Amino acid sequence: MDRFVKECRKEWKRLGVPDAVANEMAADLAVDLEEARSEGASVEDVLGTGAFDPRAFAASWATERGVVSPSPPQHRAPWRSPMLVAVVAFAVVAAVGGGLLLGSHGRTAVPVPLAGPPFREVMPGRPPAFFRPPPFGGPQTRCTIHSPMPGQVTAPRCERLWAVPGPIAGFVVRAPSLAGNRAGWILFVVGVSGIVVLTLMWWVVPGPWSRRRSASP
Amino acid sequence: MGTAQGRRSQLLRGVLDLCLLAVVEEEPAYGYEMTKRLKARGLQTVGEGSIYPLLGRLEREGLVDTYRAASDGGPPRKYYRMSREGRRELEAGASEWRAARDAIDAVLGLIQAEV
Repeated sequence: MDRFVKECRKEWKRLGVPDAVANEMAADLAVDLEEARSEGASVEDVLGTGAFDPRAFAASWATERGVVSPSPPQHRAPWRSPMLVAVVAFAVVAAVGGGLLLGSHGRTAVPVPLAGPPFREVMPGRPPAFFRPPPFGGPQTRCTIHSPMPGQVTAPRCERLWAVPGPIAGFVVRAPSLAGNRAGWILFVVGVSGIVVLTLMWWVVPGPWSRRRSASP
Repeated sequence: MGTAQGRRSQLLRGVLDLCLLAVVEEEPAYGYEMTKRLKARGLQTVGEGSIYPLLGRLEREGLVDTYRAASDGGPPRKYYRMSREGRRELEAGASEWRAARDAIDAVLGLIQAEV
């Protein structure tokens, strides 16, 4: 009979029955079974067919009494969902790659020595914000030539030319190629859109991987 | 388990809660004491799962109240006694049982007469 009660306790522990309640049920059961034994009755006389399956009996009792703690949802860690990982990775790579592609096409600077007298500004405006002159040594004239097409570095074809007084030196800011620019924008937009959608889903849609966990059954 | 005993167990399962309520209506009792009282009334088999899960449900549903008290010099026992909701449930359940019993008697009585 002690073994029966011990088996019940194991099951209650497994089911998450609070210790106080499990102790109470175990004590009540033990006393009842002891009384039955002293009167010559068997466990089966007291528990019916429940005597043959202590775990099932214990689970049934705890469930009917409403003391079984709701089992924690067996959520898989989000990083263990291959599909989710793939989508997040794609979005991040697309956004970053697109951004880099856009940045690189507008930022490439090629030092080019410029012949002739110091240049003056031949077109109004100022160099693009992303423009950074490479560090030329010595007194120099810093020129920015924004070429309309990649590889076209000569001054006459330049779109814009800025010049400051000093020895002649300069560099070309290569104009972004149309194809590279478009691909960069597409990647960037797709990536950022993916990140936004994923963030919204994480915020709004209940799920194991979401900020709003699914309700436990 | 034979067919007759199995049927008896099935029948009892449907009304065992009412029987337990009726037992504690007479006098508060602890678990094993209820088993003995049922046995004394001819319900020797408690069938599958025993009365303990059922008592747990009755307690959870507020159909019985519980308290602890010493039993004949023994350790403190958990006693069950009738609650107001339990009494209403017992009255309604007993009425349903009688109606079902009468209907079944009406059917089985005819068959018995033919045999």
